[in-house]
Amino acid sequence: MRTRKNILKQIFKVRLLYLLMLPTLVYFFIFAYFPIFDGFRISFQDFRFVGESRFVGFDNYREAVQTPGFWRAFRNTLILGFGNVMLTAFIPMVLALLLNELRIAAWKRFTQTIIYMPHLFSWVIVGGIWIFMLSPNAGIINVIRNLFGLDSIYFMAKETYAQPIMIGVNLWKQAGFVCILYLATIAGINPELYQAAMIDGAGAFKRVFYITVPELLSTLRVVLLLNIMGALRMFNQIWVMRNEVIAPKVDVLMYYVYERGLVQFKIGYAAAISVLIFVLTFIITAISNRFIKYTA
Amino acid sequence: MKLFDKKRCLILGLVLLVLLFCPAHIFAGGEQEKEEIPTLIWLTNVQGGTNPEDDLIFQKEIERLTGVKVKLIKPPAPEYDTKMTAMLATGEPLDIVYLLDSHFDALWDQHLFEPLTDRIMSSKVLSDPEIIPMSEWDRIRRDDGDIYAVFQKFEQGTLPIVRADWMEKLGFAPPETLDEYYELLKAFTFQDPDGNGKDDTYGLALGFTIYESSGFFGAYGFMKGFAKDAAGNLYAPHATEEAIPVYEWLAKLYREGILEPNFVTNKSSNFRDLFMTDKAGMTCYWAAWVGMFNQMVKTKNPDSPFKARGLVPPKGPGGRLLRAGSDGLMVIPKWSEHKDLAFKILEFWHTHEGCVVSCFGELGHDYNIVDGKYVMTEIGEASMGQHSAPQPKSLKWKNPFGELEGFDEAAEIIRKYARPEMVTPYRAQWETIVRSEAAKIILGDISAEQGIKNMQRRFKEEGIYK
Repeated sequence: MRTRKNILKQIFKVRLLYLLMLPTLVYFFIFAYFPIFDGFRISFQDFRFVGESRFVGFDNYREAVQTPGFWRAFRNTLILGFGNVMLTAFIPMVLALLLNELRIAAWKRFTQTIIYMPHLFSWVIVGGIWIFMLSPNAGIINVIRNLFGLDSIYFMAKETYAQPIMIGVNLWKQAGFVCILYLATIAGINPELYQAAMIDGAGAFKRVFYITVPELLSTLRVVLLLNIMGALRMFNQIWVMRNEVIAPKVDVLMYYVYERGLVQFKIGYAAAISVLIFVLTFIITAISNRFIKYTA
Repeated sequence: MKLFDKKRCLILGLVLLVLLFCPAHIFAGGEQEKEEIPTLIWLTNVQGGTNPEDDLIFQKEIERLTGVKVKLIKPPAPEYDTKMTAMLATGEPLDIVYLLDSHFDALWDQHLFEPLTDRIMSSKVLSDPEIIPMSEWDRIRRDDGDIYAVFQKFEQGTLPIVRADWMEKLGFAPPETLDEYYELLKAFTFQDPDGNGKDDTYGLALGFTIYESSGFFGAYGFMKGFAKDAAGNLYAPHATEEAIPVYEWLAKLYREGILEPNFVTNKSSNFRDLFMTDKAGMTCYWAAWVGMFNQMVKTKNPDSPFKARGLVPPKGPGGRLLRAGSDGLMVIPKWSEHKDLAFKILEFWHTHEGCVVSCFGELGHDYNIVDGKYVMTEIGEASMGQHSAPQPKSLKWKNPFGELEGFDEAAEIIRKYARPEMVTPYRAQWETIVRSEAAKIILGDISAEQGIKNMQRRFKEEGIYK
């Protein structure tokens, strides 16, 4: 009781600061929390824009779990999400370690810029570039294949290649940004650790494995957690790069919500899936938080 | 000096709150109160110009011609459906909304739109059968007997468009059957129609919307979308075994290198460019583009032999058939406070002056009238003479500039052979399923029989087939 009183007293002491926080809190309530609660309500309705929306209980949820399209999108989300989370966390780490070993500063900066640049492009640009690069008659990949006497492959129209392409392009776009996070951490490592290791006779590899990599773990945790939270929300890349042929392999939950809600206007059904995504994101984040021990 | 002086913080906080929550018109000097004539809010992604400055000029022109002030809200095209739905859902103060018939159909039973039957029937312009025939109104009349929308333009349809100069050069007559089409397309691919000595042309360039190639399916009597069988159940003609010969014909074109291979990922601009840059001898697209292809190529290169022409679709066991374009419609939301004025605009849209605005733009900006003659300005020519309606709906419309080269013949083919598809709530599912399996058949990944089976299975999964 005394503690609560103390807290209230402290809040009262800095009440003006809390007053200044009020607009931000109101903003988040209106534009973030209210839509979540309202979406939850809509998910139990046969929603109508005008007039009364009928309460349908769990019908929308039942329909969702009974529709093969939902499970297909769910499976794709897990596959693409897992691929994105893992590759975008570990490959940039390898890149950062390699870049850190470059001794010519100008070359290092140049390489860093080249790797980082795709992160600045919007998905519309990135999608367009890769659709062109993978095209069967003019794309660079098939031109090279043809030089070696191999037949062209229409990569963007083959289900087999669809998921690796999506994961690979996402890695191409995001690697530079994550790499910079790792490089910043590497730059902050105490150089005395390396000097001490060298005196103890540790070679370059040992210094990387016993000093650099352990120091990068905290950044890796953050990157993993951010990637996991974003994995279920992927949409832009799919919206730009999908076509109907590869759709069964790349349509993810967010795209499924968009299609059902804003193309077919099944708003209640789409809201039910959104709630499921929300719950899944919450569970996955909580589990991964436990394993990654970010809070520790 | 204290960092957080109480008085300063309080004043700052209050100012922030005032700025956040005060209605905007307080800062506009009470303009809204002074304003006597209401301004209609018009949500669209087709009417107006091609940039915000042009939209302002369009708004002024509408005001000049009708005395009604309008303000366009134009979300970007890719986001239009999302924004339009959200704005309707939240009851935004809108007075006119443009939407496609599929969205109209999906949203109609949400009771969002004002019934317009009485207004249309008592309108001298809209009830005139020489402007819009009653059969057209009946087509969009709902089950409750009311009409809720007014047409935006003559939606035309898609048809095969050929490089007529290449066809003549290679000694071909306009093809009549799928076999003759094949021979012509093959010649475009392998007989160097542009005469540059290189093997760099394709017979046919398409996008991946299937409906563009409606003429080929039309030879077997198939229309895009759904039809009803004798028992009244929906079925997709493209997903029946009778459609196999057309899929196999398209697969043969792909296999032999006649069909431009990027058709799955082509956007319309991609195959339009291929057609205009001597890379393809035929495409399938909107009739209005016959004239626009000619004008665009001739504007850049007046000496070009380029000659685009619409072709009569191939004749087959099902006769000849093309798909008419989906209707673009204008509706008045039920909660509009200016329904009379909004209807005045919809009525105006189909008058001669309205058609001129929708086709050519604004007087003094896009065109001038000199000695009673219409003369296009440079800006007007640059915007290709189209603003929101390349061809108005009104049957009384006579283009004061004359139609673009090749358009009249193409429009005639559409009028003769094009039929609208049946409107159902399942258009999105049809496109996803048929496009996906059709592409796999054409690419040779699966047999036509397997593709048809997959389509039927997927329609069942979606609950469309019983």
